[in-house]
Order: sequence, then structure tokens, then C-alpha cells
Amino acid sequence: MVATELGKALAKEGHEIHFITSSQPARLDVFNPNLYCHEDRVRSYALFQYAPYELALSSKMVDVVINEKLDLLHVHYAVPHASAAYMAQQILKTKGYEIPFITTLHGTDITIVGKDATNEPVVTFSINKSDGVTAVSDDLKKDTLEHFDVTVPIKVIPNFIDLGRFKKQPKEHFKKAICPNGEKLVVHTSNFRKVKRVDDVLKVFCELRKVVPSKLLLIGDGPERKKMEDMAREICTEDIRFLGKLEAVEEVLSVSDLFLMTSEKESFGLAALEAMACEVPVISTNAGGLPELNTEGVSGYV
Amino acid sequence: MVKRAIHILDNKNLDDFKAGALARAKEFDVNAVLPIYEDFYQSVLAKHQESLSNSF
Repeated sequence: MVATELGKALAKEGHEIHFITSSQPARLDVFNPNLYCHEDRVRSYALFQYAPYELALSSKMVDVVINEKLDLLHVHYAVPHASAAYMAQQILKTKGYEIPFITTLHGTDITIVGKDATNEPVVTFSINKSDGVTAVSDDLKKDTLEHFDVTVPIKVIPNFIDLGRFKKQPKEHFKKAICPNGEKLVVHTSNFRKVKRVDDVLKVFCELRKVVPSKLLLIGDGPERKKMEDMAREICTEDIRFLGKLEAVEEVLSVSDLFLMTSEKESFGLAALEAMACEVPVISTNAGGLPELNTEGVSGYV
Repeated sequence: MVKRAIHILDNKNLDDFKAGALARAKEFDVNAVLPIYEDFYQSVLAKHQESLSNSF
């Protein structure tokens, strides 16, 4: 998502941007003559139990670099993209092409995939072979340096937001429909993975509504959703609604009064930033990069 | 978290927090962060070029 937004923003500035992806990014929904998308098709072979994705990705990178005359590769996530970029770089060298690659660490590549001992050698190698490395928060940088033998500098460049899209919109009719008696509207968005601790959102809300008349909207979908719906039914179902995946999340944020983020791991907290851009204060845990985003007593509480 | 939520949702405080949230979000505006990426790209390209020149 961030990579797509970055590419779109760079294209707007006049850079020629080529996306190399396994499928068209969902947010690549605008026409810009500087934007191109190349899908790396992974084929299955009876010989292999799993389709060789990195092989297809490296080959596609080689093809696009040569034919589109790229100056720079910017890959997102250490594995498999940085390792694929290194492979592509080495192949290109044998063909007389020299191209540097930058790796951006986003979080799960380090905090979950990378710390798995099975992947650690490839993650460390790919980071150290990158010509430039960025991380989306100081905390992620610290975590990377603590857990991997990284010998190259890591520059912190935070995630960002398009304030043209994420801004408070006049949707008061929507607020009236959900909160007809002037209740406060609390919101949570996530992919409903266990690490997001959505059960804590429900627990906090149930205590809150005893004091402040309020409603809770949960946006998104994922493995924990069914369990959370069952839990909501048991505790205080009438004030809680699960909206599922929503494309125009900013419309709901526009009428919200408070955003809850209870994650136990969060390298940056983009969902919280989207809420803040729509003028919604945030109460979050102090996990990962959240304290770097949410200012205590100003934009909310950590 | 509940106490903090009650404090924020108090009508006496809510507008200040809403303004504070927006002000903080503005620091992460794409127009502020994009030039950092562009500078970084330039520095990596320059360093790469320099290392190629030195290797000849």
C-alpha cells in the first residue's frame, strides 16, 4: 500500500515509475503517463512442490531493468524482494548493466518472517547487500540492528499520508444514522490478525460505554473476525458493528470521535495516521513505532 | 485506556484532541516525506556511480 502511494506520488513529480508485482496493486487506480505495471507471472511446475516466486521476480526485474532502462530498483520488504533484487543485480552485472537497489523494511519482514531462524541468513544477507536501506520507524531500525548482523546504515523515513484523500469530509448524515442520540463514535480498523488484539478493543469499548454513550465500528476483515463477532455478541452487541473491508475508510473516519489501536506489534501504525488525518484522536498501545506517531496528550494517548 | 478514552471524549477536550491529531498528521504529509525519498535516491545513485568509477 505504501509502496503504491509512494510510486504514485513520485510519478506525479515527473519520475517514471515501474511497478514489478505479482498482481496489480489495489490502489494503483489512476492513470498517469509516468506509471507502468509489470506483473511477474509465477508458473507451477510438477517438478516443484511450490511455485518458484523469487525466480520469476528476479527474472522480471532483469527484463524490466534492461527494456525500460531503469536507474534504480526500490524494493519493499527484505524477503523475498531484496533477495530477488540482489539476484537480479548480479545477473544484470554479467550483461553489462549496473543498477543499485534500495530496500525498505516495513515490519513483518523483520519482526515475524526475518526472526524465524530459517529465514535469518537470507534477510541479513539481503539487507547488507542493499545499496541503501530504509526503515519506517526508529523502533523498526532498532529492532533490525538488535536482531540481525547488519553492517550497512539504515535511514529512517516514516510512512506518509495523502492529505488530499484522508481529510475530514462532511458526512454528518452518516453520523446521525449510526449515532441517532448523539452518541460518540469509536472506530478500529485492522486486518483482524491476532497481533492486533481486537479483543482488547471490545473490552475497552464495553467499559467505556458504561460511562460515555457510544458506538463502536470495526472495519476490516481477517482470521480473528469470527471470534470477535462471537465475543461482541456475548458482551454488548447492540452498540458494536462489524463493517468488513471498506474501500472509502476515510468516510467513516470523518465522523468518528476516537480511534483505538491495541496492537502488540506495529512498526509504524498507518491506520492510526489515517485516522489522525481525518481529525480523529488515537489511543494506542506503545508497541513498536506507535509512540513516534501518536503524541501523548496531543493527538491522543499512548 | 478506558480512563484516557473518557477524557478525550469529554466535550471540553475533544476539539483540542481533534486539532492535535490533524496537526500531527500534517507532519507526515506525502509532500513533506517525498523529498526525503528523492534525496535518498540521489545519494544512493551518486554513491553507486562513485564506486563504479573507483573500480575502473
